[in-house]
Amino acid sequence: MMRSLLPLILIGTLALIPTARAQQDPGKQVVGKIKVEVYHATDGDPKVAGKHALEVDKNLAERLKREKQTCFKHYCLLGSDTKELYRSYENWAEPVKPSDEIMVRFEAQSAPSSDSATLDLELWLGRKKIVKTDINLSIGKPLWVRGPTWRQGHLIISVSLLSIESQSP
Amino acid sequence: MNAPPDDNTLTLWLDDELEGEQLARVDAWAAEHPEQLKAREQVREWRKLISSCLPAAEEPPAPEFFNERIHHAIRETAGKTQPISLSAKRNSSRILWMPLAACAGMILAFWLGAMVQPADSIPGASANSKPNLYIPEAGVDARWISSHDASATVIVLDGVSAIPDEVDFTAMALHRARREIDSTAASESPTPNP
Amino acid sequence: MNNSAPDPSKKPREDVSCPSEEPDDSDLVAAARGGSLEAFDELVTRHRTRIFAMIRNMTRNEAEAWDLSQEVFIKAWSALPRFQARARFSTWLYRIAHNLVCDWARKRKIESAGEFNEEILDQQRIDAASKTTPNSTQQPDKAMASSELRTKIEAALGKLSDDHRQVVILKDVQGIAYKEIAEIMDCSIGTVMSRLHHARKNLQTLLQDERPT
Repeated sequence: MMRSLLPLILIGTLALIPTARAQQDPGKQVVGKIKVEVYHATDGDPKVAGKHALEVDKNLAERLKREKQTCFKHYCLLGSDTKELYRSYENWAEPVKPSDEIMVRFEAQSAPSSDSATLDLELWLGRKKIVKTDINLSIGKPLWVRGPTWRQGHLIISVSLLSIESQSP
Repeated sequence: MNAPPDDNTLTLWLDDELEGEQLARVDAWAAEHPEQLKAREQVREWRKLISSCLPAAEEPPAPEFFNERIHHAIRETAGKTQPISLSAKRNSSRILWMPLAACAGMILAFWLGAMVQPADSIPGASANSKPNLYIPEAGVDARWISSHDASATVIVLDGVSAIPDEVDFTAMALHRARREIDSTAASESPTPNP
Repeated sequence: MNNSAPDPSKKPREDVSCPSEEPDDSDLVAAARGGSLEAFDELVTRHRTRIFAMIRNMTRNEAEAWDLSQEVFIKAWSALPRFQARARFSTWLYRIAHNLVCDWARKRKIESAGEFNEEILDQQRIDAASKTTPNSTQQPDKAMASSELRTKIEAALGKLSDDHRQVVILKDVQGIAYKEIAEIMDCSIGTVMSRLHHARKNLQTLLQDERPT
């Protein structure tokens, strides 16, 4: 009797594991990855950004130039941070850590779809909340924030949805 | 005539820390020692002077952000150190003996859950709709642009204070010296000061 | 941001000896110990002004004080399970702050080369009746701007040892009772009294030297 029931019991056991996991804290489940980058964009000398600034990928530079508001002659990368997107917890990206001059707070508003996520997103500059938005990010379609001026150019803060993790119910 | 107070009591009296009967006794004694009354007045004047120059309470800059940073640090710490606390159902011996009906019910629930499509975004922003923007900072304006050419969403900020040129992000980003949080600052058994 | 210092002569006696504490701090502490971040956030909001002011007065550096103040609360959160509910929460916070400032000072070598040499002073036994307070009537005249006076007082405080500076700030600025200061600094009341006595005498000497001739 027990032998015939064993497969069902085992299946039941397996079924319990996702349930058991859900007991932990479903809000902490990682549902995606968010990448925040800071670019220095200028029509002047790109070297003013500092010798440690990295050159931006040519494709990215071309793409930035296609939009009038982000079109500049030169771009360089000042910092980058990739953080997990939790199901229902906030997270902070610090792309120019240890400086807290530029920080991005984000939180999923709902369960993401297969290739996009709606976020409650805040941009903090100089320890002040500058803008808060409920942006829908798709993979491959970033948010660019043309921010403050710095060293004869503008800072552009890029927020991209890198990936969506498969979720358990 | 009142007996003179001991040194500790006198010190407390000079700093207005006595109350009730003890205060009355020392007051009575000090009435016959005007130099003590003068000394107490000088202490009061000094405290008034220094407290008028140095605040006892001061709101930290960016108080909202101050709290957010603490909140964030607490969550980060909790994420790294909090043990995974599973329910008692993890005890496999108990699982194995769970009634068959309960197992079947859970199998069904699991299957149904897997079939349910994840909820789409709540009413509000969708892939093509304009996001809501909230700008708490006075003097700052923000506008949203959906850039089809660049395949990106753009928010343009106007009126944001410029970041001083002397700020060097790249140097800081490369040389990310982690701030050491000295663990000797224990709350219960503090390290005696040298 | 509140920059105005309270006038101790106008405060009721209780405020001078016991820092004000919201009556339901214990409820918030209990909730925070149970894991409530909202309750802890409320505690942070209630106590951050005094903690920040104390640390800023000690370090004379707003940015460092901002960071250190946050560390106080972060440490407090992690140590909440060990907090004894019968103790005063603010005292406990001050104690954490005091330790953090000491560690910071030790690491940053805040004792400058120009530190006041206290051995110069007469180290007689404590005479509570002796004049130990910087005489305010001998301070620079009333025409001096308060900011200039603040600068002088801060400079004089900066020349004291950490312990002396701390006790002056806790007693004369924060208005904390001797007994509580002893708990914060983990020493006896007699030690607090002795430190304050010497600190005030040192400040008197330093500030008298600042008087215009």
